[in-house]
Order: sequence, then structure tokens, then C-alpha cells
Amino acid sequence: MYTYGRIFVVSFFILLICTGFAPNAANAETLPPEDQPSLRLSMSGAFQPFSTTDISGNLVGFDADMARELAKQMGYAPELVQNDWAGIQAGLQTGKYDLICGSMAITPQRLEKMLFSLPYYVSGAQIFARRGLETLRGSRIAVTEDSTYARYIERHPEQLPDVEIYTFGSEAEIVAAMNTDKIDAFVSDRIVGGFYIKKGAAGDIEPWGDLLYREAVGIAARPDSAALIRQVNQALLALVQNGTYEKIYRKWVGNAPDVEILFSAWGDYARFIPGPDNSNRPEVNEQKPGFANKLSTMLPLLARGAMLTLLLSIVTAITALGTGALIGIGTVARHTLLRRLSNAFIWVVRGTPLLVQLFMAYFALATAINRLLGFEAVGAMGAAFIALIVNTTAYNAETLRGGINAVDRGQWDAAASIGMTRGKILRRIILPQAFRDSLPSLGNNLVVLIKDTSLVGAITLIELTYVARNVVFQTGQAFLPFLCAAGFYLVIISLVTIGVKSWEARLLRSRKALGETI
Amino acid sequence: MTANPLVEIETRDLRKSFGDLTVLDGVDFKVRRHQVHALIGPSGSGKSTFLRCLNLLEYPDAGEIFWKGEPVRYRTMRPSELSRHRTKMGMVFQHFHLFPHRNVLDNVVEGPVQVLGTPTRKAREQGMALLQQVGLEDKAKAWPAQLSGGQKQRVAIARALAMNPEVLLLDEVTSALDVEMISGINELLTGLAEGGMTMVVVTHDLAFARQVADCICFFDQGHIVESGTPERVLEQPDSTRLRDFLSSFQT
Repeated sequence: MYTYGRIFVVSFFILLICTGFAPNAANAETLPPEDQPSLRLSMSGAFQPFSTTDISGNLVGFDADMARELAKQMGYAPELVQNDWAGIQAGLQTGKYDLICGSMAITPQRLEKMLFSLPYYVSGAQIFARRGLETLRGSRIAVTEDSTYARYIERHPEQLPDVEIYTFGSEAEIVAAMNTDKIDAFVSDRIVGGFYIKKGAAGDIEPWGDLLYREAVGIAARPDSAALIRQVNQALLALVQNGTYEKIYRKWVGNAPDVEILFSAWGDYARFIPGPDNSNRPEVNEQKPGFANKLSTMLPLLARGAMLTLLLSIVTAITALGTGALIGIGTVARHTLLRRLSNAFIWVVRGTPLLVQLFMAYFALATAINRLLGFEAVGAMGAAFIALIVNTTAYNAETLRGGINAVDRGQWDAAASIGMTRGKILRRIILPQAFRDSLPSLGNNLVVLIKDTSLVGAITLIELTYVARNVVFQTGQAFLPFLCAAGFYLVIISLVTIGVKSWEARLLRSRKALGETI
Repeated sequence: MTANPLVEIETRDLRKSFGDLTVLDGVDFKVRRHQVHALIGPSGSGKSTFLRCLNLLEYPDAGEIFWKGEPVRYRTMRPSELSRHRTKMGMVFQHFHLFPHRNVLDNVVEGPVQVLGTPTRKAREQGMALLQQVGLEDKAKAWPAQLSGGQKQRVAIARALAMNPEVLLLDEVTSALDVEMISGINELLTGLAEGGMTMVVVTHDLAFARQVADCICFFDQGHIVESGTPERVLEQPDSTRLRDFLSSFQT
């Protein structure tokens, strides 16, 4: 087996040289640096120890080092591009970068859409669980969105019966979720998990059971980049031969690479090496299902996502109207502390992004509450409601504060002169007018809220945008799912806008006829 | 002191500043029962602020206020006491300040129902009677936005009267009105005066002041410079400042 591998490699090398494609690596190195064209390589930056960012924001890790060395070997100036895993394929296809050197496993589905280099490392999928977990039944297991692990679990539900699957945007959130008791186990690369165990990054975890499957990881390129892939293969071979590969592997993984396994993987994937003029391209399934068929399978999924969007929006809108009014009144309270607290609340919440608030509610606040109570009282849905309500409350309060201050001072005078107390003046005279005048802006806050619910996908909730993205990943059809999602949003927002407008018209009846101006 | 039963409100050495600007510089004043007091003087002389100090829409910085001889402890008043003090005086403003989200009748009954606790039905009956008195019984269901300036001011007067006040404070109530509306309002106020209503009227309308007032006070730079009967003050002014002020009206 080993011998076979070596023989194969040597003959393969000769084959590559004979085809005479791709510039010679030695030539490339003689080029002066300033004349070097740059090669853009992408990775997620959230997959330790393969790619992560250091304190100064540079991409580091096995993938990062490989990307730099490969580019240099090919005669290019390396330019590393961080891109979220969830959008990494789209970035390649739209030309944001030339290659994905980001631990992407070679799969038949991906081969339909991209070219792959020979594997540059071989690893496998492994479940890692909290130490001492007795059974996976009933446990919560996390995977990264659009990963081979996610696909595997989808296709082999029998492997993991009775589990709850949580899908996150990147490994970074999985680590956070593991550390905050959101999940009991996760599926990841065996090397990655080993790294977590060594560093204690994901809490006290251990591998659970055997490897789910082995996978070979390659460098991906657009379908028209056959020549580039052949250059990559040559450079990879050179790095393996001159020892650079082993050095990088030892540095990040901690042990020597099993070159025999790598070579045998090269044998397995040799048939996918693109020939000149893109010959040897794998057969791409050109047959596309009809529009109606696609739409008919897509719409129910999206509709279910839209229901969650609607639920989040309605509950938040109603609650935040009340809480926003309370905080808004707080800003004009006579009690100094109350006034300061209200203003501070608005300042902090409006000054921080909703996505950060979502993560804080989910990973920090919900976890703290759950640990205090000893059971999972606040899940992803609860955290989403907390973040959305807090956020919308601040905006509504600020809107109402403006409305209250915009009411003519004479209204206070007139009400006070007939002996009304401050509370009564606010409740019966000022607030109704402030609310009436703020309604268009409050309606605007509501529209913003509905669109902001698209962020809760980041904490595993399957709302409309999340579903659309998922459909895009599954079908490779980018246009239709997003168009449908946009349509759903438009319908929801139009209905809400009509509702707000009619309410506005009712409250404004006191201004009708002569058109009072304020 | 012994309370003079004919004095409703008395102020002694009332002072008020807004920052560096001294608006009231020691005002001594008595509001006598069943009398109409007209406060005249140039803009910024302090007469409006003085009026607002009487029902504590503004708090004086120093000085004393007495209600029927009883000191009004405005610095330590509880909200309920403040409310009670204000209900003794009705106030009408230059710019009406009707509640735009309430119809005419609801503007009038808001005080009686919410502050005095009058049953709604009774308050509405009284409100309708007041609207009849000011000549607007047919506008009970109208919105303030649908009324003319003169009509709005009539509603504002009805709203003040609905509280059954002992004193009426009027702050330039005809200054924002079109000329043809003014005489109607003045007639209404004259009628009230003849009915024995105690009034303090801040006005620039000297003809109206002469006609209705028992006493005219000339304010200048935070002081009452002269006061007396209309004939005395308007025809035999003592001070140059009053003479200058009066001459500015003779064109």
C-alpha cells in the first residue's frame, strides 16, 4: 500500500511535468517580488488550528501557512482573504478570490460546482462530547452550516437517533455554545477537535465513538481555473518534497503528517485532476428540475421560516410598544435616577449592534440564567426574544421621548392650570399626543424590526432568511430562494404598514377638516 | 396678620429670575374680590410671569404669596396641595392651548371629571351650559382644529370656568386673535366681570382695560411702577416711563 502510494506519486509527478502546463516553480521564485502578481486565497478564519486570526488580525494557522507557501511556490504574492464559511463558495464563484484554501473537504456535490486540487491533508469527521456524557440520545449536537458534517448528519439520521441538531455559522459559535452549555456535543474535524482538547478551548470534551468517516481536504477553484489547479498540484508536491509541508503540519497539528495516507488519497482523487482545456471535468448534472417544481418545494420551507419571522415580529412589536413607552416616560421622569437609567439604557442599546446583543443574550445572559436555575429556561428562542425586545424597546423609547418633547409646552401649562397632577397630565394629555405624533416613526421601527429578525439565524433559529440561505446551499440556485424570501418580507411589511397607516388615520381624526399644523 | 375678607390673593416682595435675567424684582400686589385688575406694561416687564406665579405655573425665587390671608407654602407643597391651589384660579392663555386630541365638550369636562371628581354625566351637563354661555353649544362635538381663533378662546374660557374658580387669570387672551374676533371675547369677559368674577387681566388693549378694570397696574422692569383707577393711571400718569408707554399707543 505504501509502496503503491510512492510509485503513484512519482509517476504522477512525471505526468504533470510532461504535460508542461503551469509555470515551473523554480522560474517563479526568480521573479522580483514587485513584479509578482498576487493570488487571493480564502479561508474562514474560524477553524483552529487550520485558520484563525491572531491579535493583529492576520490569518494564521495550517491553512494560512499552506496558502502562503503554495502561492510563493507558484510565483505569486499571497493575498489571504477571510470569508465566513457560510458564504465562502459564493465568494469564490463571484471572483472575490481565486482559491479556497480553507479546509474544504472534497465531495461529489462540491466537485460539481468547483475544481479541487489534490488533497493537502486527510482527516475525518468525529463527534466530540462533553466528558462523561453517557448517551447521545436526547442530546444537543452542533454542526457548522453547509459543512460536510451537516450533510452527513442529514443523510445518515440513523447514525444519530433522537438527537437535536443545532446549526451554527462557524466553529467559533460552536465553541462558544459548548462553553455555555447550549450543546452537549458537536461534529467537527478530528484534528480540530484534538486541538480543542489540547487547548481546553471547548471545555472538557472527549472524542465520542469512532470516526464517522474519513475525508480528504483540497484547495478549491472556479470551474474555469484548470491551469491554476494544476499549478497548485505542482506546488503542493514541491512543498511535500522539500519538507515545508511537514514543517507546517508539525507546527499546527503537533505531530508528523501521515504522508502515506496523503499519497493514497492523491491516488483516490487523481481522476479529478483537470486536464488541459478542462477535459477530465467531472460530469455535471445539467438537468435542472422545472421552475414550478423547484418553487413548489421551496415555498413551504420558506413559508415555515416566514411564520417564525412573523411570530418574532408580532410578539416583539407588542411587547416593545409597552416597554418602549415605559422607558420613554422614564426619560422625562421627575426622579433623576429613573431619568438617568432610562437615558443610559437607550444610549447603550442604540449604541451596540443587534447581532452583538443577540450573541450576548444567547451565549451570556441565557447561559447565566440557565445555570442559576439549573435547567434550560431560556433557549435560542428566548434569547432572540430578549435581544429583539430590548433593541426595539430602546428605539421605541427614543422615538417616544422625541414625541413627548415635541408636544407644545402650553399643553402642560393648560393641564396644570386646571389642577391636573403631573402623572395625569402625562397620561391623559401629553402621551396621547406624543403617541399620535410618533406613530409614523414607531411604524418605521416595526419595519426595521421585521427585517432585523433575519439576524436570529446566527443563534440557530430557522427564520425566513436562514431558510432561504439554506435552500441556496442545497440547490446552488441563488436567485429564486432569495427572491421568494424578499417577496415574503415585502408581503409581511406591506400588511404591517397598512395596519399602522389605518391606526394612524384613526388617531389623526382630531386633525381632520381644517388640517391643524403642529 | 388679620385676613382681609376682600383680598383673594396677596403677594409680598415676589422675585423671579431666569438665569441672569431678573423678571420680577419685588412685586407687592393684592387681588381684591369682585374686582378686575388689568396689568399693563411693555413686553418683558414681568406681567405674564407674575400671573404665572399666582397659580404657581412658575415658582417664585423669593417672596410670599397669601391665599385669603393664608400663606401659600409653595416650596414645600405636596402635589395634591399644588393641584388644589391651582383649581382655585382658572387661567386662559394667549394661544388657547386646547387639548387637540379631545373634542370641544371633552376639553371642558376634563378638569371637572379628572380633578374635581364630578360624575361624567353631571360634568357634561354643566359643560353644555358653559358652552351655551360662551355661545358654542352647537360645537360641542367639534375638534379644536375645526374652530376659529375666537371660538377656541371661548372654549378655553369655558374650560377655565368649568372648574368653578374664584379668580380668573387672563394672559393676553385677545392678542392672538383676528380683529373681528376681539370684541366678542371682550364682551364675554365684560359680562363675567359684571357677574362679579374676580379677574387679573394681562392686556395690551388699553380701551378694554379702561372699560372693564377697577384697577390698572403698570409693570416695568419687574416692578409695579404705578397703580390705581383707570382714570388715574391712564389720564394722569405720574412717571415718565408710564407716559412714554402710553404715548406709544397714540398714533
